[in-house]
Amino acid sequence: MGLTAYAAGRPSALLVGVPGAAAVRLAAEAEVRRLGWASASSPASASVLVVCGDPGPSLAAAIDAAWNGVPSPRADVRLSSPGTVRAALADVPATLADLPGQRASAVTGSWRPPAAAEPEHGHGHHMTGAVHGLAMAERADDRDGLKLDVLHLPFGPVLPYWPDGLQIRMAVQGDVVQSAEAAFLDPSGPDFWDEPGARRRAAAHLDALARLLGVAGWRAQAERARLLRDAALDGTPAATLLPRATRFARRVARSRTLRWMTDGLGVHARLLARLDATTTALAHLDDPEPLPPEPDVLGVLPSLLAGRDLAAARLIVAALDPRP
Amino acid sequence: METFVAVVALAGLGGALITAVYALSFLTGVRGTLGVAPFLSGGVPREHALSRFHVRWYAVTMVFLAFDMEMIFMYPWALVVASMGTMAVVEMFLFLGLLLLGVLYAWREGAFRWA
Amino acid sequence: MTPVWTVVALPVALGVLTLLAASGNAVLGAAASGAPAPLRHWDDPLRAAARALVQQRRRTFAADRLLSRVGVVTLPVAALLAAVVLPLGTRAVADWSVGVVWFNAMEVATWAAVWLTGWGPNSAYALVGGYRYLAQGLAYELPHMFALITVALGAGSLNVTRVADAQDGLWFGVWMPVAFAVYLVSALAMAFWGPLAHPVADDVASGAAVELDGPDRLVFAVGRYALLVVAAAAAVPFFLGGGAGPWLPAPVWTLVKTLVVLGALLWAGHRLPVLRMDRFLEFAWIVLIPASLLQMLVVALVVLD
Repeated sequence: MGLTAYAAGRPSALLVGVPGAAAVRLAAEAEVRRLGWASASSPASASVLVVCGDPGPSLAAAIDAAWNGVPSPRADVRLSSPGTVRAALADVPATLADLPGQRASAVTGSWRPPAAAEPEHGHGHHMTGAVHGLAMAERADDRDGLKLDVLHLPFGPVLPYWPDGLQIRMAVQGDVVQSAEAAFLDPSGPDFWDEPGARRRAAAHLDALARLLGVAGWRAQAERARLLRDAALDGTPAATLLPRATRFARRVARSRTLRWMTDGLGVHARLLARLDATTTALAHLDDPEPLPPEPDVLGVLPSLLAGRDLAAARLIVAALDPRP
Repeated sequence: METFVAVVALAGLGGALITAVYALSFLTGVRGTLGVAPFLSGGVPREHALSRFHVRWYAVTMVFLAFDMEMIFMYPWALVVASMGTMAVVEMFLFLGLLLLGVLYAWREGAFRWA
Repeated sequence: MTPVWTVVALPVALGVLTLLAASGNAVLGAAASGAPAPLRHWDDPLRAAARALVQQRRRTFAADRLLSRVGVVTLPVAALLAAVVLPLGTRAVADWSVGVVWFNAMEVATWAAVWLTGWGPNSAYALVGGYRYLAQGLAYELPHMFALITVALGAGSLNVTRVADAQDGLWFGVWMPVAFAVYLVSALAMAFWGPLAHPVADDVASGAAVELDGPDRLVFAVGRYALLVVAAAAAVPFFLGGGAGPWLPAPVWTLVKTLVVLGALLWAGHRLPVLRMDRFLEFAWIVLIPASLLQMLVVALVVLD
């Protein structure tokens, strides 16, 4: 059927990164860009779920939960090495256009809350407030001494512009974070970004900048950061790379709107520092230093997020950009 | 054509087009409804999202309402300024000035800063 | 009395411009992000529409589907109804004496539309997005209304055609620059577009729109582009002299001016990051409202003269 094939020609891809396997995600992002696909920010708007790396059990469970929310026609691509990306994504349009296959595999019926979700909460009496098998929000004191409804929301691991494999469980009242716990799901092996070399270091900063700019709602510059990151890694000569990076850094650093939206949170200072580290690394490409080890970012995150609203919290996470 | 009829006809056309989108989706879409959990970036909800949302800008809504009432009078006012002369302008801006004092007070009290 | 041709021309013009806005935005966005061959993205919106139409329906757990459907459908209907008072050249579908108030009333329906869309699916990220729009409304609506009243004051009329005619020789956009600037900001805000897209921002996985399935997503997206088009088109009679201009007929001038404003709004969307409501709201009350009131005072003094 014409419409299905036309729709299948340019899918909307939701990418999920796996900690340590950034190389696969980078290759997938580049291929999605080359093919001109749309990037989805949620399962409802996605037609392809692309898992970049081999997830451990808890990350795999989160990915399955996201996959269960993707409506047919849909395709599920699991990539384990950068070399397989091109071939795997090339098959997607055919999968999506295969209407009989999609009809046969389409899932219907309603979702039910897992019964096991309850005991974690402590007392049995919470079930009394349950509607359709799921509890209603309970009240708790907020930072201003009011009693308000609390929701428990996980952020990550399947989220656009989010560090690979990170999960932050937040308790929120309205959109104010009351408390947060951060952890990496199944961190594994050596990190792609730990390899020594100025190019790797610059690319790591650009990758983090892309997340920060994306969270700040500046998709165009986030995409430019990714392009620069890929150029830094694929050996583009410094003579062309450095001017491009300098132009990018200048434009981002000069944005008054971005400064207005990110200062006062410690985010803008970190943004400038990262831009600076990027151009410095690209100016000295023969410097073999690896990315400096980070202090315990995960440990301080909860105290930084408490009392912030979700928009500010996401900017702080992106600015700190914890690594496993 | 009567203006009223024209506007109703346009609203009807809009409604028909929207219905057509849903009808087309019914005909061309993969059959059956997929029941899903709300998207929580891979997490499972622990409670219903619908809750008494903590609206931190509630103080602003009060100041807003004061102005919004005012606006109803400003539309007709705009038409009579030329004929009523200076008094109309003085009265309106005195009133607006009073409201602005309220805004200034609310600002000093931090009503516009909630983060 | 309404000329019959306007009843045909309005939906056609709105439809074509909406498609043009979506298509142009895809190309502009691709170019701004440095994507290879940005022009091939011209049919991205059509592909997205096709994806939406072939997609399986989807329902979140314990959702209030009626509420979210009402919210989604309100967007394009509000845009269409707001447009009936805009002159297509010289004649509007509804040449009402209170056209400016009607425009304002229709466009305010987006408050309910976006909030309901966020509330309906019983999804936390959507709820956060929906409430963000209410905060955004508190920020943009008053400066927006002050800008509209300033225009009516300058023209001495609430009839949109007469407002356009009152600018014979000197556009309101020229001698009421603050009102014009405030109007453009509020145009972005009412269509929650570009820097004012906080309610559907990526940090909460597209916020109010996160759970929208195929046709809902399509109608919501069309409504949003239509609102942007209508907001841009309204700037023409309000600030840019309507269809007035040398050599070309009035409908052509109206179209050209609309395209210029629309292009500027789309461009701003890729040029700036998203404004967070806790910061923008304070700015709106402390800077935009006093500035637009001062502008109104200046215009009132000129009118008295």
